[in-house]
Amino acid sequence: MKMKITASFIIGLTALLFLLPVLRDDLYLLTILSIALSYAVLAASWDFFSGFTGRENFGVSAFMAVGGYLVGLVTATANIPPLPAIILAFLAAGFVGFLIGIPTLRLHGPYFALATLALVVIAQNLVLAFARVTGGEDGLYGLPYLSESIEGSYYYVLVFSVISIAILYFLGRSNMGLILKAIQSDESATRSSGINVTKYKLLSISISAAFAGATGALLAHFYGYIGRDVIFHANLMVIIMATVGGVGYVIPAALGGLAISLITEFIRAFGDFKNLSYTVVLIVMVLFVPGGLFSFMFSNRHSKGRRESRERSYSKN
Amino acid sequence: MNEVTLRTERVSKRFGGLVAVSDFSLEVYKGEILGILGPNGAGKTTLFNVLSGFFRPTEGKVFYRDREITNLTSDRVATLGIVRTYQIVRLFDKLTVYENLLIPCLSPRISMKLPSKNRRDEHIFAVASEVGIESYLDELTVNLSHGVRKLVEFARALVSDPEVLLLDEPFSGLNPLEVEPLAEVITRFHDKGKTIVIIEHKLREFMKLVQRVVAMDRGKLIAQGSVKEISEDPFVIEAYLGKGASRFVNS
Repeated sequence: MKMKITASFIIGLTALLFLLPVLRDDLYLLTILSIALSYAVLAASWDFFSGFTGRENFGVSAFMAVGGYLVGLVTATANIPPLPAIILAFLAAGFVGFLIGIPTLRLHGPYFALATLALVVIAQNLVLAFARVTGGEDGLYGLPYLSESIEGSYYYVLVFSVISIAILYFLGRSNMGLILKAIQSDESATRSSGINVTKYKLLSISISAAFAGATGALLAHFYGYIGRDVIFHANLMVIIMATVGGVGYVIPAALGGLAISLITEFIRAFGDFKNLSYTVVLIVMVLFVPGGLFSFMFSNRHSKGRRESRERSYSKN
Repeated sequence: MNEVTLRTERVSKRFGGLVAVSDFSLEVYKGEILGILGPNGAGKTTLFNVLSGFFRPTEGKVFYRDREITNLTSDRVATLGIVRTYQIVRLFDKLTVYENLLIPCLSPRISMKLPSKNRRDEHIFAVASEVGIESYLDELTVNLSHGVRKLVEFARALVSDPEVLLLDEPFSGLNPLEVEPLAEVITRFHDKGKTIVIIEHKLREFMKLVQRVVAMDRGKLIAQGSVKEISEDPFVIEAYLGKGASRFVNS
């Protein structure tokens, strides 16, 4: 029953997002929503690795940077349209995630978090060190837009987000998602169950990094610009969004990304009080809904779905 | 009975200055229930960690069916059919009992034998019924009592369909009413021709169960033989009660 309500809510929300440009002719709203949707993908991709395996990745921006700056580089040298560039960014960031995962995934708890945080610092310095190709502090302008119109760009981002979040969600609900949660609970016991833990952790961080990289590329094409502010501003935001939304089920994290992006935009009106009110909202959420705002829609997701099919299979015997 | 299945050859494991297992050669025969006895700190669990691939021995080799497995990772060892439990129960506490039992089904060893979800579910239900936890399948393991958690861990090991089962103090913390059914399940599993190695530091707990006992103290093998021989062995008595104690016990 709960799942039916949740499913209708998600489908309704998606339909509303698709119909929005028809219902309201508000370009400002479409721009904000496009950015919010990108953040929803980032939060979902963060959840798919960190929320499932329990290793907090503080390096989202490093993977976004791979995608974003890759777009900057390829469009400067070759005339590549956005879609292949985004796919290329997806593959490149996934590969970087894999490479980074090999040494860092041996680390646990704060050590893994620190290693990934260091990654962001390295990425930031690389951007400055190679200013000739990355544009340094100024960034790179004049990248091709996703589409000529704002509506077109909005639909581009919307389709990208829906597909990405759906893929991450179904991966999370698959046996792979279950294995990742087992790894979070007890890595040794997962190993003694005959599961190749290293393989699954690497797969998970690669997939997570790939989606972060693709989103970095998407944002570069959306703004027609790539720079440090686009990429590195997102790092902590993404973690806050996923945590506030709720981790371990992908969609709550994505909803957290959507909600916080919109709230941030809304409290801009508070001017100097922006940061204060933002912090108050976060503290209140963490205090009163520590499991995440939207997790309640999904609790016991794995077992409920399986229980029904299991009872069917027993009754056949 | 005389075919050796699992074997260590002069295995040592040192942690810095501490020698946990020292020059230890052990032979486990196919189809037997072997007990490993020793006081706390004798190196029993370290030996298990070496056998199951969690520790690489500092020296020596481990063989399974004449194949060297010394350097295999623990998941590879489990895939070969050597499956262990833990002294302190280790379950996936955010998952349900059913999901706990599903995890080993997703390993290469079982997923190849049982490719479809329905067959996996049947397998899980069969094992859960055998161990007597089928009514808990949809409970989160974190909510269960210690006795049931022990059973779930045991069931999770059985789901892997092991050839050799390594049980690290399976009876610890169980009340007498819980010991009996678990011993029965272990015996039934053994009747299928499987090999079992049990660690205990209390001899009485597994006296009825085991056929042969290896006694350890301070990382070394001090005696081996039948339960009766071991319980009368002066070295074993000394290891438990202190020097000179064997004189009193035997008199």
